[in-house]
Amino acid sequence: MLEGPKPPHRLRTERNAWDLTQTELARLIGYRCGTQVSKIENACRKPSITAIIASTILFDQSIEHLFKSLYIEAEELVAREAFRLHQLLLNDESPRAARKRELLTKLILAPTRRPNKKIHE
Amino acid sequence: MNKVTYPDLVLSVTLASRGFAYVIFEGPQTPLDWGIVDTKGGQKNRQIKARIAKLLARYQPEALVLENIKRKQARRSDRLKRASLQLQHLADARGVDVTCYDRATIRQAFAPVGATTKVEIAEAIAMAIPAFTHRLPPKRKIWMSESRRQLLFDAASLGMTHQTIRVDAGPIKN
Repeated sequence: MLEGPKPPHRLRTERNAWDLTQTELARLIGYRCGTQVSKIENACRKPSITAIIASTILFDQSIEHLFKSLYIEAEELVAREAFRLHQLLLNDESPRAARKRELLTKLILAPTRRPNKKIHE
Repeated sequence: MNKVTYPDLVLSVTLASRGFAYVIFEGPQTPLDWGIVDTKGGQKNRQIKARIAKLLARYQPEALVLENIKRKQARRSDRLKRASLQLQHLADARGVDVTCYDRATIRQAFAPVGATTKVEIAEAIAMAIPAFTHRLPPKRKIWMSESRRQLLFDAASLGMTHQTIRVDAGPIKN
């Protein structure tokens, strides 16, 4: 597997665009001080679920836009588990299993729709 | 070892005696990160190099865009010329393409929107990128020195020129 950077968060982009300080943003999304925001922006810690939802409300942007690396991580986890469950259901001919496979097939293909990174040899 | 860069990311940097400004673009008119960094005390070039190295490591952009200050008309100090060279070597070592544009190329890229002077180019950028609008420096009087904020627009103009030339995105729109 290739070692590469995670797609950066856009929390810093949005914060700078609206000229907010880290402390101001921290208060707005439920933290006490700007250090937490700094850590999130530098991908040193994951934001809390409240902070994620508060950020989407504050900047009127999707989670995929604001926290792309987290979104990709979750998407890959879902795809991996969906594939595993899909394999288990392959020999099951019941309508319930067919219905599940319909959902799982879509999820397995989801991560492949993203544009590729450029690889230098 | 294989190196992974994000093909859309371009880091543009403008050097000045008091520090530098940078803008990271992910599209012709979509900046991802930007800032103005002041260098204080001695070893200014070392400070610049360290900050740029951090940015290269964090974002791993495909290209580094600098102003061509080797030309005689650029009128920059020897220290800044050395800093520019050091950044080029740093980027080369990390597999990042380096491109330098002179002021004439930037003016040419912004000519379709009728912007030729630095002030007009800064206004055109502020129109194109809403996130920069509130950072537009005040109109300069003859006795005033250049605003610190102008550096940011100089860096943005380099990045936008590169994007316009590279992806042939067409003229910069207002």
